[in-house]
Amino acid sequence: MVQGSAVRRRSSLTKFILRRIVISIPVIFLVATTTFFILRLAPGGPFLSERAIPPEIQANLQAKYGLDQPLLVQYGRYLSSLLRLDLGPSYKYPERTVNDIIREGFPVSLQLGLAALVIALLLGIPAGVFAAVKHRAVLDRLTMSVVMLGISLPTFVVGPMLIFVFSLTLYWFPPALWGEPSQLVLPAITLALPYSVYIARLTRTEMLEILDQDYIRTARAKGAGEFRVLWRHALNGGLLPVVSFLGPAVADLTTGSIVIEKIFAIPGLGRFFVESAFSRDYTTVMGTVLFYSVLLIGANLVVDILYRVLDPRIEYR
Amino acid sequence: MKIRVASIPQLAPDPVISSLSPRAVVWSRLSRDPWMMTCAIALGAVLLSTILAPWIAPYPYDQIELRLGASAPSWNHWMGTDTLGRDLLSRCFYGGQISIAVGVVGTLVSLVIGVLYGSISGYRGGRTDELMMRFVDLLYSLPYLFLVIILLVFFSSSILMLFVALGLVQWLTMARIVRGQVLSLKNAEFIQAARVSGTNDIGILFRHLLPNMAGPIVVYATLTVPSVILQEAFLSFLGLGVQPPRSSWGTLISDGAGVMGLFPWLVFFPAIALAVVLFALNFLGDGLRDALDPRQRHD
Repeated sequence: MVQGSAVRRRSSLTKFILRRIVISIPVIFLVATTTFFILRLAPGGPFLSERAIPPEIQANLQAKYGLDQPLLVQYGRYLSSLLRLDLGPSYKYPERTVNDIIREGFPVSLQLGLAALVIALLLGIPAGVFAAVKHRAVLDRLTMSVVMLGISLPTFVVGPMLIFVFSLTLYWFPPALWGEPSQLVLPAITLALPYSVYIARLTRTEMLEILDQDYIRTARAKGAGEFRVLWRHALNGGLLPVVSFLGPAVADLTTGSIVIEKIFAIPGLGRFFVESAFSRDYTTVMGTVLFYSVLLIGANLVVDILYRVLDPRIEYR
Repeated sequence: MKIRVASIPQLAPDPVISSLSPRAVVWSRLSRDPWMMTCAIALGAVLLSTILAPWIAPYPYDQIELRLGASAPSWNHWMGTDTLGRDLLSRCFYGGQISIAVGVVGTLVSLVIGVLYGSISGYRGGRTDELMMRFVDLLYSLPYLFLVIILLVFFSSSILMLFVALGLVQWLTMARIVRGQVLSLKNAEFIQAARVSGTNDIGILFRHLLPNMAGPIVVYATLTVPSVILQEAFLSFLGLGVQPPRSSWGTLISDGAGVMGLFPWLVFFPAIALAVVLFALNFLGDGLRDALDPRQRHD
């Protein structure tokens, strides 16, 4: 009986995952199509820079990349190369393909994002639990005010502030660049702070609700210690909203790192994206957006699966 | 006649509160809270100073005085001057105008789209609802900021484009909230009564449903304003926001951050202005949510 329902659950989970993957395909197609046409319909082009290029050379360049073909032909070519997972050559860095750029930049952004995520969870969850336990006391107000201050300061204020204090005054960490573990500290903390704030608020709200519930009273009545009640019984349910927040958080952590990468001169994908947008490097812009879309859809799917595993009350649809 | 669902559960044993209308209850809760009032007053002061900028700013925001250069705060320039000798206090007043306008207009754009979309989806129900909400789910999984950056780089980074782009990003959550509210209200007795008495769908939506969902909508809008302001600042930092000589708090901060080691006041004052407004809005939004929560009525 129990086993039967477990099997049914597993097969419906598989169905759920398959369905989501099938739905994602048209979305990715839609993203590719919209970015393609937005970029082409906008005035300007990759080879119309301030430097005057002789018209013959420009015509040659256009021809080399097929930019002189009718728009629909270009679109067809772009889609067919996408099917081969080829994002095309970069116009700005002719010696590299967009695939190369992503392969180079993404691991950097990923490391930064993951480090920030870990820091955000380590700061946010305890702060939220603490505020919930001290509900309505001065300490709750104080914790939540500090937390709120965290959202109210944009990362590009916090970043330079941390550089100013910890590298230029105290000489604890290097102010910029990438490669050493010590160079990861300041940017990761800067990126993590706003997310730790959201996580703290979510945890606090949910914990407040849960601490009122019967099963917590039962756990207390059974004589479980306060520590155990909090961290085992209550927090298990209290983390559900945090888990569902992680999907959008991954999205924000990847896009939020654009600014961090600029402040700390980190060679991540976000910086490549902004640079290529400014220099109208069509293929790199399209490739990066597409890559991030796939990444986000994947991250959201993983979060949804996690959520369903953690909360057995949820039905698969 | 408006019937407020929030007033139906009679949980309030407190004689003072139970005799008040829901709006009065919310107001009394907020006004008794010194933190909330402090936030409201601070917010009001900043708002007033930005609205009155043309009259109270001591200098024009674009008056350059190269001889002065970046000077520290003094009697003539309370917040000092920037590297071109422009008065920072005046620039903060005018910068606030743009930052707050972007926040409010962006929120309004998201409000209109989100409320319409969410209420149609929830009210229609069935397959339409399913389809419309799937679409929202899909849009959620797009790298939005990247699309905004594309729009701003490849078209113009005019203020109008900024309004539209930021509003377009924000409506998704609003749509979800509104849809949830409509779903929970649309079968309530007073809606059935309205329908029986011959009110059409549009009348039901605007006359009966919307007024009853005002609470959650206002709360979420209050929390959207700071996030739009922050996003404008973020885009300005990348050089995509407001273009010089005009400036928002975001551009002021990003200009100041570059020379922070030498002239710290250039980043300090605009950052304080931005932080005060964001802090106050976030705090008020949270407080409003708690005050509107009918489950808390009994305390």
